[in-house]
This record gives sequence, structure tokens and C-alpha cells, in this order.
Amino acid sequence: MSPRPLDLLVVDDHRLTRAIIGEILSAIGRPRIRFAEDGAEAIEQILLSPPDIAVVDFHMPFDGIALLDFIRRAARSPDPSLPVIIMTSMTERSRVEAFRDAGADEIIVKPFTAKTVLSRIAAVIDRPRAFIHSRQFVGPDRRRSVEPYDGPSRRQTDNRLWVDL
Amino acid sequence: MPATSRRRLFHSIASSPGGTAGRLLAPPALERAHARMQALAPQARAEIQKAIAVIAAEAEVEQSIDAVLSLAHDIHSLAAGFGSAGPGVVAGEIRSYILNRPPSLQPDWSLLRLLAALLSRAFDSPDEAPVDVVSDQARALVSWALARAPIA
Repeated sequence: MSPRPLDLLVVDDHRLTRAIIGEILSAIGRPRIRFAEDGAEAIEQILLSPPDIAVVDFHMPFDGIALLDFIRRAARSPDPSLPVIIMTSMTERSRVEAFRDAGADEIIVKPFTAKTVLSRIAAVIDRPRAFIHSRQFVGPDRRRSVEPYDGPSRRQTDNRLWVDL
Repeated sequence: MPATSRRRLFHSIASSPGGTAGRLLAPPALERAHARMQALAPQARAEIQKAIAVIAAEAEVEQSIDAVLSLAHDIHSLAAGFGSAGPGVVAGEIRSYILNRPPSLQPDWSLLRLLAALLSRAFDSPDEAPVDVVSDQARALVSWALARAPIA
């Protein structure tokens, strides 16, 4: 049992797309789903009460990157590490890199299926990433895997297994 | 703190029986989500049809390229999810033309009229204008238009 329902904020200026995402998300149980028509309205809602995950369209009057920038970097942002999933139909490499650099957690490419949307939500819940706050980058750690070290042992503790054996 | 509360919630969902995938990605959940999405298909098709008509009208009066771009974006985002792959591809090509043409040049409205007609045909008669055919035609038109445009 969850201690409380998942709180999701869907931000898109297109009424039907908001409804579609809302319908898909409501199929997973009883989440709390909030909607905003643009970045400015989303900021009002986030300031009032940050959601658990924001699903944000890139292409809006107050666009997704500007909203992401507020969430990650603004002094009055109540939750800089809020997971943000960007929706876009722009799949050029430079565009995707811009979303990553702005601190997006995941990207949903339009047109999407129900499975795509839910798998991105599942990825955010299942694999929460460390949050990086540096001068160059504010956002989730983009390294997805930890490479095991296979170099020479340099510390005494590295050899403990040998001693115990 | 919102981050702490969220971490606890995510952990609770992930460690529940079946985990996150069991809740969100199990076949019954996906089928339910797909069915709910498809229940909006009539609205989506009506919206696509209306957007196609407005693009055609805008191409006739040669006024707002921004309106055409915005509508093409909407069609591209919606169409494929609701069984209208052809219009989605043509709308994507319209958007590609508008975004990649040298901004100093006037839009090629005759090209946009042709693409609007193709869009309409792909939507109204998908059997006569299958997706691979309309996408080849739209791509060829846009490539030709961009190739003859002087470099900005």
C-alpha cells in the first residue's frame, strides 16, 4: 500500500493532449492528476504544492525548457530535484541534448503510446537518480550505470578478501 | 520536505508486490490505459480534420506561417497515436519545411498548398493514399523546396 497517491502534474497547452495523458495516467490506479496549460500556470501549482512528477510539453507559449529552468535553478523553486519528463516531437540530437542539459529526467517522444508514457513514469519511480547541483549542471545524474573498477588494488582494504581466505 | 516524501513514496511503490512494473506496465494496466486513450479517438480525429482544414485555408490566404507550424505540430503529435499515420508524417514534413527554410525567405505557399492537399488526401482516403506513398511524396516535395532555397 502506498502511503499516499502519486501526485502528477501534466503541463501542455493542447487541451486534447492533456486529456490523453490524464486518461493514460488515471489507468494506473488512483493518482492525483493536476493539469496546467502552460509554464506560468505550472509554476503557480508547483509553488503551491510540488507534485511527485511533472510531465511537461516542450512546445508551449512558456516552453518546457523555461519551466525546467525555473524548477532546477530559480531561488524560489520549492523542489529543484522534482522529476521532470519532457514531451516533444523534436527528436534532433541537438534538441535532445538541450533537454538533458536543462535537467530533464526522461523524454517522451510524440506521437506516444500509453506504454511509452507509463514506462517513462516507471523509470522515474524505479531508478531515482542522484541529484547533481554544480555550476555547470543542475539536474539528475545522467550516468545510468556504474562501471566496476577492474584496475590494480591500491588500498589495504581491497585485499581483505585474500587475508580472510 | 517534498524530496524526502517523494523518495519514500517511490520506494514504497517500487518495493510493493510486483513492483512498479507490476502496477504500471502489467498487461491489464496497459490495456486499460490504451483503451482510455482510444476512447478519445473520435475527438482526436475531429481535431485533426479541423486542423487540416485550417492549414489548407491558411495556405490559400498566405498569411500566418506560425499558425500553419502550430497546427502541423498538433497533427504530427496526435495523428499516429490514433491510426492516422499518413497525416502525421505529412504534418511532420510541413513542420520540417517551416523550421528549416531560410528565415529571410518568404514561405513557399504553393508548396504548402500541395502539402495541405496531400494531408487532406492521407486523412480522407488512407487506402488510396497509404502512408509510405504520402510520406515519400511529402519528403520529396520538401527536400526539393529546401534544396533550391539559397543558403541563409
